[in-house]
Amino acid sequence: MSLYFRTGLAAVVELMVLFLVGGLAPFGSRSGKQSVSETLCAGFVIYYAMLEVTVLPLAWAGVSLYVIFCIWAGELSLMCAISVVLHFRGFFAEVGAHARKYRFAAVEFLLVLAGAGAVFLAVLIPSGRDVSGTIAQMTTDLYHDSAGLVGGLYGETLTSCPMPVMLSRYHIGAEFYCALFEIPCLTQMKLVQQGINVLLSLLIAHRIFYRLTGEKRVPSAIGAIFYIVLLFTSRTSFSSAGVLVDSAWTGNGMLVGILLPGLLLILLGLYEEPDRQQLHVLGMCAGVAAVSLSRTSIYLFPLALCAGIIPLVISKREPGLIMHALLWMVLPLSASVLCVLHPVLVFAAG
Amino acid sequence: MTGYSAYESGFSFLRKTIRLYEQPGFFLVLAAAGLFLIILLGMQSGRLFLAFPTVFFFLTVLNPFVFPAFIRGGAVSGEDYYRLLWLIPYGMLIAFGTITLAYRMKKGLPRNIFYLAVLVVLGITAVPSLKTMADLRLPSDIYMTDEQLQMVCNYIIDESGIDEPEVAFDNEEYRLSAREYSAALRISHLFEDAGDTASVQAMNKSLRAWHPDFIVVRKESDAASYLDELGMSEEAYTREYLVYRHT
Repeated sequence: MSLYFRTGLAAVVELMVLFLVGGLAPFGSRSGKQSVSETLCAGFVIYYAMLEVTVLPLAWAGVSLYVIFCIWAGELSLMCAISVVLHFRGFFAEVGAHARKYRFAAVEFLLVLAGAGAVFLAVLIPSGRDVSGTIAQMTTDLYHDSAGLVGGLYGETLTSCPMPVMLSRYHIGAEFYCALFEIPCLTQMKLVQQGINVLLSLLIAHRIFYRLTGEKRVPSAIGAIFYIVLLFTSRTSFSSAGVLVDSAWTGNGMLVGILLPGLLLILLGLYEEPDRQQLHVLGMCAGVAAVSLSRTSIYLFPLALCAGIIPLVISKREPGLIMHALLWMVLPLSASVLCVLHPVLVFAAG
Repeated sequence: MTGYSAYESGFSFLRKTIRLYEQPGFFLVLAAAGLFLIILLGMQSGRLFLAFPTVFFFLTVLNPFVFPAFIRGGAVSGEDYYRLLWLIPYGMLIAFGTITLAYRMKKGLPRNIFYLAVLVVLGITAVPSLKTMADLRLPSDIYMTDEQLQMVCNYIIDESGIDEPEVAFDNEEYRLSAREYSAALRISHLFEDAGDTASVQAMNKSLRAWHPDFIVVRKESDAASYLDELGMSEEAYTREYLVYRHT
């Protein structure tokens, strides 16, 4: 298979995975319709939240990147299988009696799980180790952190991550596709990841305009076109537009271009339906995902959430939303405290 | 607090930060216009979720009277402060402001002409950006590292016979970028420990502590003479660097 074909396949599979994962906690709407862009946005948020929840403790425990890859492959298989079953639940409900429905669902679940797991693991086993090395090569953050925290163990991050606060964890999610499709790291990050992220950003912006305009199709589409043209024309090296367009594959790019607009989309959903549980779950996942993407999120995310939740609480007169917002911020705020305490702990220890 | 003023620490800092890091002034004016249009003519959801957050940020973290304390408190460093400007949704303010204004116009030809005019303006502003993009080229060296460093790394990887050789570079830049070229290298702390003004004794002590497989030093550096005095002889050399093997 040519590199172009494998790269295209990686992009399609990554979008499919995001779509399936997004099916686990759908946005929903008053009309009951679930748009593709909202499903992808939910998928992005849950994907990186799960990645963070998986990788952070394993990295803390010093597990090798290769083992982390394999565990992540298993988790992705599980999430995709659950999502497929959830999507087809309505179909099975119509097929027959309850017992039959559950039997079908169980068989389908096991088949999808086995299929996805087998594909992921079979392809990872020969190429996972190479990609572990490539990650260490690409992520200079890992190198710098290990240098600062582990003293003489320069380079030990090649296969293990012994530092308590490991940066660039989101790379592991992206590099997973390098291993699956044997595409070079730079191609994956700067072509597949960049393309998908700019596309996601555009879809989310369109959905935001759609909600802000009271679900009008034409103005929301025109707004999205203006938005994307503005992103390209107004960018400078360090501006938000520049970070998104030129560095969409980086954690900061994803934070600014996808996660913060995604947070706005979640808040707009809550504005319509404050009691919708899925949106509270997504909000919490957004807080966790933010920390995975960038250390900048530990102050950007709480600030963005404050600015969004205040008008929501005032307009809906529901102070309970503040408690939910605090729950969303648990991980970013914990990370802030850890960052403040970490130098103190290192100093005290040594 | 001596010498501190909101003007010196706040206004000028904010102005410099925006000038250095944010969009060209033309777009900032458009974003401000979009904000006013949303506040004056927009729907409630637009006011709540686009206009309110923008005003909120300018009253809090981007307020010249407030953020100096924010920076001094250690919440965000002065170098990273520009990232707070990412919170302002410039593109959305302009785009949604345009839509808001269009919806105050008569449906049909006037509104379509307005949309077209905006697209033409945006297209004109896109020309310099497109020219820049047309000039973009892939670098011939995908690693974007020094040629001398690549030669040294290639030699060590090919000749050492060790899977992950530990290498001590006296050049700090090389210590930071060598693993971007090859993740097979492990970087030693030898020279950080010995310091730039190391003596022969300090170098000897550090060598016993760190045991790197290879030592790479600049030809004209003091470290090269210290290593010679310690009885080590170079195994290879490039135009600027000497490579010693430590046994």
